[in-house]
Amino acid sequence: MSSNQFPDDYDIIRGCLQNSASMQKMLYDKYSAKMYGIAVRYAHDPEDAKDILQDGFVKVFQNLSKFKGTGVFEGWMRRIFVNTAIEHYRKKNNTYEIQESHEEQINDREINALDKLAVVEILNMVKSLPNGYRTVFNLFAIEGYSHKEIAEMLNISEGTSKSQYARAKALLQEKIKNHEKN
Amino acid sequence: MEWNKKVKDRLQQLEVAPPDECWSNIQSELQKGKTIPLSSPNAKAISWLKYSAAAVVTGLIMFTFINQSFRNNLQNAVMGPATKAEIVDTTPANKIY
Repeated sequence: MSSNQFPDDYDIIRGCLQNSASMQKMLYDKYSAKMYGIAVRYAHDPEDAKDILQDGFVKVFQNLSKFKGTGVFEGWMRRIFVNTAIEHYRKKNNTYEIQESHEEQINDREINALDKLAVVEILNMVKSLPNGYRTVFNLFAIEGYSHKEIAEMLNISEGTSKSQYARAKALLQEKIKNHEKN
Repeated sequence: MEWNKKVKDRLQQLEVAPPDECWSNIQSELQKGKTIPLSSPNAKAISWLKYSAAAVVTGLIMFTFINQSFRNNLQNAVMGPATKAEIVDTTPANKIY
């Protein structure tokens, strides 16, 4: 969906702050596909993704007055959705299994194999990762948080975050190799 | 690092259309938690009512207290402190007459 058909973010925000239902719908229409993309990456099933999207938007509308307008609005929204996804993850998983860390060398063939995959295929591979791996992988590889930040967010050690990521990456590479073979 | 970058590039801007029912669920959730904004005229009226009620209650308490001590003072001034002694005098009646 093109965002050009929508008014400026600040006009939409102003409307939402005045409780305009049409502006709220406009904000939803403008960003729901992007935010659902985030929800789908973190969720382990479609129901969970729906819950993350709904809870995230409710939080956005309830906290719009806290947006200072200093940064990019989409970035502010993304952080709310990532935090909502983490809250959902916490509700369902109280423990983390600690795995041996082994950073593997990736060759050019594996890098090129990624190009041959459709986004949906990569997404399905990420979604098939165990919950802990998937969350750390999303936070580190996609969102760009450091292991220290992830450790604080998920209440785990930095070492656990690193090992979870390494294991997630190894599993993904294995899945890509298998996909190539088939 | 190149592998990471490629995965990031492919997935970061991912857009997926959400199911249709999501918006109505969000709307009903917002309706549930709807509170009267502080700037609305109703909220101002409610706020004034609260302050007025608090002022009335405080006024009543103070009036009762002041009235009580005023009456005590008045009683002492008019009848004198002996009145009290007279009231609490427990001398049997046959001893007086």
